[in-house]
Amino acid sequence: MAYLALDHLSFSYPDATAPALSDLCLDIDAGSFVVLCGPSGCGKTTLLRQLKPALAPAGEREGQIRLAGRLLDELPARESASHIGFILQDPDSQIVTDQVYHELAFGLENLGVASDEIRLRVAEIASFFGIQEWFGCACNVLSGGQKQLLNLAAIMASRPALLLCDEPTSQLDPIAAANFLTTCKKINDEIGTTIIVSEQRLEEVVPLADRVLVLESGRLIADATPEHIGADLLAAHSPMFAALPTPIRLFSALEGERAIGVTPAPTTVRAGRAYLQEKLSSRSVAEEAPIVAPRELDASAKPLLSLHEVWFRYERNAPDVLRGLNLDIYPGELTAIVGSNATGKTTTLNIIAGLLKPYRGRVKRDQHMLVGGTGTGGIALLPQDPRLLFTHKTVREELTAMLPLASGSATERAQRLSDVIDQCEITGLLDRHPFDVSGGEAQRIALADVLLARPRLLLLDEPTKGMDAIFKQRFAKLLHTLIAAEGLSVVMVSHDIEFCARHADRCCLCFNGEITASAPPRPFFANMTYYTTAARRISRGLAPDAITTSDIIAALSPGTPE
Amino acid sequence: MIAFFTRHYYVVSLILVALALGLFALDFERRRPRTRELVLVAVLVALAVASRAAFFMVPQVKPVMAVVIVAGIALGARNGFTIGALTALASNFIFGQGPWTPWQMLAFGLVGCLAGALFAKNRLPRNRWLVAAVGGVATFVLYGLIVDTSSALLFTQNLNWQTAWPIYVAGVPFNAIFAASTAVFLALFGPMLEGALTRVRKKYGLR
Amino acid sequence: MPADHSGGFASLHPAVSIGYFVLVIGVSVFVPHPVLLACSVLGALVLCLQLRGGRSTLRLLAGLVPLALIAAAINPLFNHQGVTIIGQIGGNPVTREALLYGAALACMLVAMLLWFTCYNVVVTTEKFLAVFGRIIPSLALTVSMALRFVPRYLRQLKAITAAQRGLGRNSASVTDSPGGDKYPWGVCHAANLLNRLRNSFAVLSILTSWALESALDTADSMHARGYGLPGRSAYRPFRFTARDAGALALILTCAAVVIVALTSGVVSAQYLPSLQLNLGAAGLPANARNLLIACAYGAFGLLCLLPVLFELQEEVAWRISRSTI
Repeated sequence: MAYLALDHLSFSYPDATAPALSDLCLDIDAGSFVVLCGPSGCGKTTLLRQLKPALAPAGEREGQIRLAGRLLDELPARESASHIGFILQDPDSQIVTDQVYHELAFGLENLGVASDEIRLRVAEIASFFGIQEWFGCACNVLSGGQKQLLNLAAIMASRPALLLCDEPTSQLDPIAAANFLTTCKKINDEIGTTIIVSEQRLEEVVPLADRVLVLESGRLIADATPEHIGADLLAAHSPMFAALPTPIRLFSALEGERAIGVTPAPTTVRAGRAYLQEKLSSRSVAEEAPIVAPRELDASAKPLLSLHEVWFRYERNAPDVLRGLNLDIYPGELTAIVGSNATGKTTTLNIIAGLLKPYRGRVKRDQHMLVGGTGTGGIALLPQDPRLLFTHKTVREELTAMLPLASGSATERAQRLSDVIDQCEITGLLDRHPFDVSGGEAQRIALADVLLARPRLLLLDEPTKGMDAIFKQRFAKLLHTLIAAEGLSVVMVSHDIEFCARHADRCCLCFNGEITASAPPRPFFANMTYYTTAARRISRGLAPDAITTSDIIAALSPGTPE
Repeated sequence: MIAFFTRHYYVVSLILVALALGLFALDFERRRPRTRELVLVAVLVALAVASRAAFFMVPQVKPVMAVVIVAGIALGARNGFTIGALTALASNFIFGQGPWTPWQMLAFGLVGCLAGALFAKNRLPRNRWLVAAVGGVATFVLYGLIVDTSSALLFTQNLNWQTAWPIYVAGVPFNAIFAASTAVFLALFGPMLEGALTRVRKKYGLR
Repeated sequence: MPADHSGGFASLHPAVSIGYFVLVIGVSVFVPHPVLLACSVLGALVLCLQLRGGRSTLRLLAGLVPLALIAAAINPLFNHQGVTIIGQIGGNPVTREALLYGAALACMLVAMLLWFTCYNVVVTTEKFLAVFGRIIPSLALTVSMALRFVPRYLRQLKAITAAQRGLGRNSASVTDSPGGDKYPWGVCHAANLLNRLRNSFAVLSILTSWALESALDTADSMHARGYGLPGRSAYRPFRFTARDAGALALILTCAAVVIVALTSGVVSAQYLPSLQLNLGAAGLPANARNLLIACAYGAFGLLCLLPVLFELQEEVAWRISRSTI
């Protein structure tokens, strides 16, 4: 019998027109590692919360959930607390106490475990997770990745048999995210804990999983192993196909319907390379394959803004964060600054925005192009957390309050408001409280807020963090529309190299307080081996200059784009 | 035998303060507050402490009492006391504990409690100006009296007006600035804070 | 960092160290006896030097001494009790007893503040909460959560301010904008102030909403981990060892002697109207009284120097263990 069984589970929120979950039937075996994915608002969180009675939202539920043969509703509260672990998105807000050791002990205290037993369990859990080094720290000094690992460790201390993670890595940088997921896999492999993880970013997690579930509008539209999920989604014409890891997409796109249920797809870069190599040996590669030409960058263009030999440090005695950084931002371009954590990316953005002043070096802004004749515009920065901006009770009031910053007459402003609302697709959200919307929606509202002032240069700090694959594409389209229609220039700082490779006009690598390389994405990413897109890593030495899946496909079969 | 301690006024008063704080602590523990109520109390204490720390450069001009008063109004007299007392305790973890800690706990707690007793359940209309006025007066009289009395007890052998009046007089300007800034903060931020609290309490499902 | 001090006296079980400070500060504040105060000031001063180092202690004293002088001066100025008049100020008599009492109060103030300084180094927040977590668990947890929130809120406050500035909603943008020159300086200034006030309003309201919303997650996380189930236990991160038991026994013995001497009145101090030391229990034979007085002085002296001895012992033990390697 299945460990976790969902029998015709449906759920509706109060006052909702459509059910959040409809008629889910699902059996999950003990010890499996399941990835749950789907676009924002598809019901992932709702489903996970149904599996944890303490967190189940109020609403109307039909159908049954059984855990190890018992109805979940009949599980005593104590057992439900210890047997089912739940990790939330935000690493920071789910930490309860202020000391690491106390956080590890907190759940055990709640369960009434004796002090000596707690000491033992805390010791073993700290050893298993390798957190001895920061065991004596206050929680506030930890990095985001360490915090999320602490949350995981604190939950594992009560030895749950089922671990539910609701987008646990959405707030983490790629290295911390990979570390978290590997730890989950280690728990799954070595302890046998059943794990269900919901995720937006599938590249790393899918290869680790036994099974992938795809939800759309509360329905289960696909349920397969990672090796077969690609073909299923392709056959279902699901937009979620775009979110799958590169090797799977490459395989499914090349094999098409033939592959459904027959040949397993490669899920890792290694398997992807092997597959591509085999494919190539049976086919002649067109060396002169017509690669989609990149948009030519105008070499003679005058920069909108340039940083020249910029040095910056936060405090007099602190080390330099920027060490002679040079950067030119050209008008009408989407410039992406990539690089790992703590290399000075966000600092650079703040210097461009004028929020920080370098202690040496020059920041040259082309006032004519930046301010223009309208008297407004200038530079606007969209922070990582859009909730830092919202001051009003409804989205409508929020946007209206930004209007005085827009130029022109009252009618022009009203026109501007309705244009921006349309562009950012937030018409349906206008009467909601800005804190009651989802992360992706909050991002769009914040973007609308920023755009109302008609900036000439838009700065984005990690804009794709927490966005689903489908919205990412729409977001890229929106950016390019704004660039084309309004002559906007965009600088974004990002860890999302896949996004930058596809959508940026120019990529800059920030390392050790300098811009180490700056080029259009194709030469930029084709030139790198480690810090580059998965498609590049798969095709390195096999397809020249291919940095996206469509490049590889184009190289293999001339004339048939993805 | 206690008469042999020549400073028995101080001893007795400290025992009384400790008793009062202990009773409220007992009341809070006995009530077994729900998780969300507990978290809400912690958030308000932290907001009050953060507001004390954020305005660190300007002595006496701090919104900390305003936060405590609004919290008392929104969550009632008992929670008002808890939030006030814990604010004093927690902020002294940051700024240093001292002999003033128990007195400040009592003073902040009583002001929060009074605000709750007067305004909770709409006993008095929650008019912005009325709240500001009452908050200012309560801060000046109640907080000022308690804190200055603690100094007076510390510095005189037996509390009597002849020796203690300079201490009270010296306290007036400080208390007046603190009370006035509390009133200003209440008038400016009170309704906003209250609105946010009401919204979240509804979302938390707390009555 | 002195805040991380963890050897010697600070390595005792927190319940022992909290009890110790309550006792020593209590006696120093309640009994203005010159000998006891002298012991107390000496013990606290040396401990302060050991825990915080010379420079930091000097800085502390530089602030403390003027305060003590004021405290010493206030009493004779406003308190005119006392039998020995030594002068007049503003038509009021100044008495020797009031002067002495003022000096005692000043010593008491110095002792108390020095002891609290040491307390803040030895009894860190988590030690305090670990002890009180067993007595008042909900309140201790609330304080622990609040203390975790505070630095987060301060960080968030910075981030919100930066985000608002990045959006152009800052006071600077008003003066920097091309229209800014139209206004005379005064108007611009007033507009600036109003704008700044409006901005701090916005910043605070964002912080409040954000804090309350993200606490919802915290509550969920607590609930999910079984908070509120009956029969909660309390983890004791600090073990009560034989060393703690020994220290506690020593402290309690000393305390018992001092308290017997104080409650019987054999050791007592009265300043006003006339200075009278150790007057109580007149019925006892002189020898017994003197012995008890000597014992009480010795016991309190030992009590005040106890942490200093612990620190010294650790230092010596460390040197010996190093030299035998």
